Amino acid sequence: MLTKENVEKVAQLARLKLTEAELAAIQNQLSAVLENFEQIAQVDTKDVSPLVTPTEITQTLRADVAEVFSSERLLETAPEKSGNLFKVPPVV
Amino acid sequence: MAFNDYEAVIGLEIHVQLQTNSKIFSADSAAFGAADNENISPVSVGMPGTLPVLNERAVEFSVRTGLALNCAIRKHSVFARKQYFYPDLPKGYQISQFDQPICENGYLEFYVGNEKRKVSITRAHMEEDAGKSTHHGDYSLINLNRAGVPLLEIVSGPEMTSPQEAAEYAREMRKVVRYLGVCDGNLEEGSLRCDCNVSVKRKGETKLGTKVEIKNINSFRFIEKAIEYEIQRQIDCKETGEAIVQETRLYDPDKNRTFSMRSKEDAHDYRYFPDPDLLPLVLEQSYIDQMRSALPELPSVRADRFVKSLGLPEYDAQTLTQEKEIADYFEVAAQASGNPKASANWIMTDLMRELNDSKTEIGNSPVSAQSLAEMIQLIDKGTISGKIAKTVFAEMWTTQKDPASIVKEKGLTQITDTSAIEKMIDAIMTANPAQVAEYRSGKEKVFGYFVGQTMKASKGQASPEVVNELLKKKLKGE
Repeated sequence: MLTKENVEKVAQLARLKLTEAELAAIQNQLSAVLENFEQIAQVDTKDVSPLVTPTEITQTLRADVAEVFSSERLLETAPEKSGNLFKVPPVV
Repeated sequence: MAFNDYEAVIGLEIHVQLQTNSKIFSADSAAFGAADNENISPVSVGMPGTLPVLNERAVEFSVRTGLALNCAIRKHSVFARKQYFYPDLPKGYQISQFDQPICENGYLEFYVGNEKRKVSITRAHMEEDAGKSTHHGDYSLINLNRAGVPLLEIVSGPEMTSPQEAAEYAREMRKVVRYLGVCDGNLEEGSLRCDCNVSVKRKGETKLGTKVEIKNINSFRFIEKAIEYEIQRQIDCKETGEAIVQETRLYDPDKNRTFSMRSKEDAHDYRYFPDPDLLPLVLEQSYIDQMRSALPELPSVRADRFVKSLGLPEYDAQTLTQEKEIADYFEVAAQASGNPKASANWIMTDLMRELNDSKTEIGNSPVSAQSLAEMIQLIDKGTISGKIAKTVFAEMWTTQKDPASIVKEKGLTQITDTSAIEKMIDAIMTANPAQVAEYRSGKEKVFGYFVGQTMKASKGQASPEVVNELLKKKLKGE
């Protein structure tokens, strides 16, 4: 069972603000998920190499060719900007 | 530098910006110096639904660097998400590598003074750069041109012990990446960034002290000064019983101090996990072999060769191999002139001075390696003196003419005809009876005066050896 503090920490790391009721609910749900993993962890994987992706497909590479995108269109989507810079709440 | 009863333990993390055309996971330009947010794309600004696609040249450059650093190249490497919130990181995570980096277990050899050092490379992993933020009180501004520029982060073992050693390690690393052509090595523009981990412990202690990371260092000299300051600060803490906090500090070159950065809550809880948007990177042995055989000769190997097979002093070999282009130039000149040492001297003094003064790259030098070699041959054959050669060199620099025609046009051929020189000496001795008497009374210092006068009379064209020889004879009255 996850502690309430565990849940608060995870919420803080994800920048989520939870009410007391939500905290309690999430505590139960996340604990259930972890219990399921504990069950999976019972399986003996001594001779099994870790699985990163479920397929045998590997990375496809892209040629190093630069293309121009419309940065105006991307900037248009910004809620706030200053000149061509994105404007955000203060971070220091 | 001595730290009395203490020893410093230093490790460096160097971020190398790989000079690709496009970004690591998208096709927007990776060029430096574009207008605000000019080089951005839906991928690099982290638009929902976009997917990263790995740049093949970023992989190639990483493998090349790893091989040059004697690393093992992982044939199966994995990209991971490193999660933290900062507005210059638009996705909320940085794509990096965690437990399966592309390069591991290498080493770098370099010199500190005359002493050869070997420092291990723990790992080198690929990742994307973040954007750049500037802070303006009640708001911050974000430029994402740099977001997604490919980086190779090279991590050394914690095994350096002095600020000088750390700075030389970083200098050698810059040389290597420039030789490989994977990075321009420009510290000011941030294409090479160096974070230093520093701790101190009492001599003989095996347990490492608490480590402090210093960021924001943009020159090799500052690496040395920042580490030096930090070691002293930590020793002072130990002496006064003050606790050393594991933290990130910034170096301020104006004050020559390090300052604690405001510590972030929950720092370093990155919750890495394999990025499901990217499949494992699988490299064939044949690909790695091909990269290995295409590696250029590295600076330290080249410097050794210059000493061993061309007979250069260590200092010359080190100086000439700082930049690949200079070493290339030297090799052409040494080969064509048959005189490596003279080639080294001319390059390190006259050529370098002219190049620096005119801010010219050696590749665009008006004096080609071939012409310099011809001029050195003219000296070695006795056609011109070393002194006249300075004039010839200056003329070659401004007119780009070949040395033989300059010597011919200006009549600069050395006078080796003894009878002509004898006549000049006779005239000078007749004109200066007092000095002759002085010399003959034992004041041999005055000899230099006669040499000067004779050289002047010959307009610098008399062979200095012949002048010396004849003067000695004549002054002694032989």
